[in-house]
Amino acid sequence: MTPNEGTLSVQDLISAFDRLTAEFAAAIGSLSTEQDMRAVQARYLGKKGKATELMKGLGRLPPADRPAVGESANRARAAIEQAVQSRLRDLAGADLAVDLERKLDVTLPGRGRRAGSLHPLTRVRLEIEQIFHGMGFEVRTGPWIETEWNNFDALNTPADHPARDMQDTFFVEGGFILRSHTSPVQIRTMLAGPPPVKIIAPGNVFRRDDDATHTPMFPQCEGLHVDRNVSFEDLKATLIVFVQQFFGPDTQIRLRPSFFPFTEPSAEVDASCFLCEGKQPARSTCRLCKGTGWLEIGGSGMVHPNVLRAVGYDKHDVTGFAFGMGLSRMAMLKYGVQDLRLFYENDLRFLCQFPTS
Amino acid sequence: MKISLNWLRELVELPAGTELEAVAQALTEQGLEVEGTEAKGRELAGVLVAEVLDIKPHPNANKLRIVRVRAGIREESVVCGASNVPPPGNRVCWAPPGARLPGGHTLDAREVRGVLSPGMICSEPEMGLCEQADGILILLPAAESGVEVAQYLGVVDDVLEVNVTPNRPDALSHLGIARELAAHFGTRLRPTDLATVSEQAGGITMDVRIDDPQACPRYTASFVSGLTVAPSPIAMRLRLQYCGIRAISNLVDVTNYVLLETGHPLHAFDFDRLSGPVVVRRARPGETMTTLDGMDRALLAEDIVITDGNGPVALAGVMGGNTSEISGTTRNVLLEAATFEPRSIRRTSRRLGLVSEASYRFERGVDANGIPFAARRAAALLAELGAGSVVAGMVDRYPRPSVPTKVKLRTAHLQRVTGVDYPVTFARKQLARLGITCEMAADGLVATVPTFRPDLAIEEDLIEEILRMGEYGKPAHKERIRSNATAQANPEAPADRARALLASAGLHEIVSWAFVPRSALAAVSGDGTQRELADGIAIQNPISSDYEVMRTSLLPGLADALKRNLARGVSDAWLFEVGRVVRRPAKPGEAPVERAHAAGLITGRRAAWLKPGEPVDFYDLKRVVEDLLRGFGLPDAQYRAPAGVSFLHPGVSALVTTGTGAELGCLGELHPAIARRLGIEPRAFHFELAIAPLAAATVSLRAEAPPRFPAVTRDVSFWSDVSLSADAQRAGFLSADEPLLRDLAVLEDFREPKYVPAGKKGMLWTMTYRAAERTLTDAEADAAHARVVKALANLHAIEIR
Ligand SMILES: [Zn+2]
Repeated sequence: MTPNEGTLSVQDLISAFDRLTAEFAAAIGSLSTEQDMRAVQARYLGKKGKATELMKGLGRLPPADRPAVGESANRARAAIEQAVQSRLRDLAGADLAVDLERKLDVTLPGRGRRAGSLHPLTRVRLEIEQIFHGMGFEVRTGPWIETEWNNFDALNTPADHPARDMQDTFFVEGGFILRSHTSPVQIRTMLAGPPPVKIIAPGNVFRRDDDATHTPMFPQCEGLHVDRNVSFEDLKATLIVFVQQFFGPDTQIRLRPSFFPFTEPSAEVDASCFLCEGKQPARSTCRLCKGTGWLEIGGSGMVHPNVLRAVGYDKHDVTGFAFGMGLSRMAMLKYGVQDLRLFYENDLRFLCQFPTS
Repeated sequence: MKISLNWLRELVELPAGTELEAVAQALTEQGLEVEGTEAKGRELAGVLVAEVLDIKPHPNANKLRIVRVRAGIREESVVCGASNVPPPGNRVCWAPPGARLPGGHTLDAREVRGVLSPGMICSEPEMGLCEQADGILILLPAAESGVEVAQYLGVVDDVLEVNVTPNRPDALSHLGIARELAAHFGTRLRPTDLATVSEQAGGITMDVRIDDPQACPRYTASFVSGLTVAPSPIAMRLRLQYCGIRAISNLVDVTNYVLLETGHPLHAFDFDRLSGPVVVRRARPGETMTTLDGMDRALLAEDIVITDGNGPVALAGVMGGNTSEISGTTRNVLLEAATFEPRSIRRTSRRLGLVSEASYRFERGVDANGIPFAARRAAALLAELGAGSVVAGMVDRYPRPSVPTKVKLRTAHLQRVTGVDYPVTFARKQLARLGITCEMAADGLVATVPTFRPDLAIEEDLIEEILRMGEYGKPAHKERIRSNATAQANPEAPADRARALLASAGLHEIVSWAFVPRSALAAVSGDGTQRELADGIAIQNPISSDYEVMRTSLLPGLADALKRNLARGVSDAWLFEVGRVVRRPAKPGEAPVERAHAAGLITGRRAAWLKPGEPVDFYDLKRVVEDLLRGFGLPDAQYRAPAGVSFLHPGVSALVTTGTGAELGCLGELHPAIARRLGIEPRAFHFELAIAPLAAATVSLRAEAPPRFPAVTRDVSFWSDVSLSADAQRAGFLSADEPLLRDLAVLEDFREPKYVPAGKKGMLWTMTYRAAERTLTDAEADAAHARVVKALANLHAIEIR
């Protein structure tokens, strides 16, 4: 195998190194692991390798020729290493290509436990709180079990007044009642400190009603703003901003005169129907607004002077507005729910449609 | 309240072309909400008022006759089977061919026993006017021949359902609604002509005395003699029927008609059954009477009674007594028109459960000054129907006259409350539309409020009246919003945080009633062993036994929801509720204690991909609780077994406390016996925590930078006594106070009896060691690990494996 060293010229040695490089590249061309390639590489560059054998001929050359041959040997070494690296890169490229062949059915579901849900009445309350928070209202709460004074008397609804019929009340032991609206929170807040007061009061309220459209417990959200020069115009502005954020920017409001013992003037609040937008011909068959073009959303008005007096505020100093709405009604409108009872049946097949927002 | 549009049109002028929708909209905009409308009588068409010309027998049938009728210029001979065909000159209702009757029946000419009959002569039921009647309908002779019967009788009408708020007694009548429309459209009321009533002098009378003017500010008695009780004419009956009142007889119908028209309740006494004089007073202690429904009523001093010489004859404003009740043979009548103290009427009618059209109006307030008009109207109607003669001389007792009140309105206050710079002249003009006259004052005006508007007492009331006429609908100005920065925290925030955490942990929020059946509290409290759960605050007037006591725990609601879901085939149910429970106060007389709780109840299987996973167990529940506590920033909560509560499995439950020992609640497997009582078959796991201590224990979040040097892990495997808890082992390791130990966790708790010595368990822990300022060497880690393991071994008997 080894050429007769005695006959080798400088030129021969240099070309032998070049041949060696080409031969190595061919030898590893079919190998697929680095380990196999390193084994072959050892046969060329190792202690008893072919390049080492060739280098033995270097000693017999005239010293002047030695650097050229050494350089050629170094080049061969580098080329062999490079061939290994290049071959490894090719192989890796082939692996990557194979790897990129993989395909999953991305339509199969994700793994692990699904997130749960927030009750629609919670979702709608949170949304309403956020809208009013943006207008500078603070959230206030109060107890369910209340005194008649906080729930009625302070709100200009004396005993034996027909207005008490508007809300059929639950009585609990100890001379208390279950609050029939969240208005006692307004009273408690005003009693706790001087004006200005700008609050909303969400929470459950209780009335002795149990049929298709009434539940004995239901959530309400009331608002109250008392300050110098708070007017009916401010009430209107607050309500229009609320309905436009809640139902959509094209929503309009309609206020209708009404009666609540604790406000004067009082108004029912209607929002224009977001389904038919109050326009014909869609309006006449609209199941949401029943053809009226309007959706009743709540009551409102200017705080009655007797209420201000009951909490020790001076009507010559401050005025205020209040409003209230039923959250079940708002959730029914918002989510297209037809049946109020669904909110209280706790059927997971219904509830799981309301992911956490 | 039902309002007839035809009736309104008789009482008020409306602009030409004002139809139902405009009337309904006007009322709704003015605060008298029209909740619905009902079209009446549209199915009756083409039936004509016809004069009877001649009656002949039918050639082929004894019971049939051939009636020659004329309607306008048309004349025909119609076959009729009724026995009450009136003599010639009278008016009947003829449905010629082409006429339509209710039920979609269209008339044609057809042969009846060999004689061609063009249509038929109709009875009331055939025209849909009532349920049942004998024979054909005979109209008054004054009816104009050829006119449509539907038009003549006012059959075609629209009825508006108007929601009148409790502050507007004046609007509880057709006249009141008419007044609102006149104000809206700027038109006038049509006067009712009472002058035509001819009064008969020198007839019956009776003295009246009011003993308690506060109870009865005004009482009038009118007298009608020579009464013939008979049905009222069809037009009146129809109108009452459309307004929801059953027609009875001329006398009763007239009192109801006047009630609906004027809002004044009238009461008719059988004059001959009264011994006189009439005295209005409060009931005396122990007094009783029999009301006309036959019930014996024990009276209280707050009741107002009408009495004659023999005692109470009526419960004023609420119900008459049976001794003076009118009947088919009544000949002479005392007709009462009065007003009574609203509070008393309300109390009496509530107490006795007698709510009527009359009591409804009396308790809202009846205008004393409108009484004579109503009384005269009733008398006039009775005379008009020919039912009897009106006796001259109404007895009128009016010890406490109501006078119009003066209410001051300051222009500045009007502008402050409305936010609009209305001039005072505008205010005066608006009020004038409602019949309220005003005098101008230096700083505003003084309004004179008619007595039929008791709701207008203060200047804010006037402001609403000023706005009510069209100002409510003016557009809003959004730029007025003043956004104050808010400082105070939302008190619901901790509860809402719990909701968000539990929902993201995979639970679904439910909402259950705040009241529960007593039996549910008995179940969860282990029949009272858990006292604070058993002894709920009772509702004194529950709707049903399902809602009789305030919940003391969220478990009954969750259990009920779980049971319902299982029954619907939903077997994987992870439920939570965040809401209040109500507990008895520490001291009697104090308000009950309301606390917000967060609770969950889970059953079903763990998540596994594309197939059902393992059944959930205690540790799935514990992960939920741990995530909740982590979310609140409680890193060091403690779990102590057993929970010692009635509703959890004694061996699979724990109390949860904060690191400082404050109690948060408990978690565990639902006690199998209680689960059975609650109707829950599969194993279910429950936790209930109080929100307030959870929020109070929240530690504000402090974050560390990630470590710069790598960590080294070492494991240790050993046998320990089964009773040595993981927490105790952890405490043992930590007693080494080893500064390099950064973390430790259980990898295995191995109890397979085949491999594990009796009373022992195999534990595998993994520890993480790291130094802050350098990379640890293996030797350092080994040494530290040896110190940590030794610390445990010093405290407890363990056997390294
Ligand atoms: Zn609509």
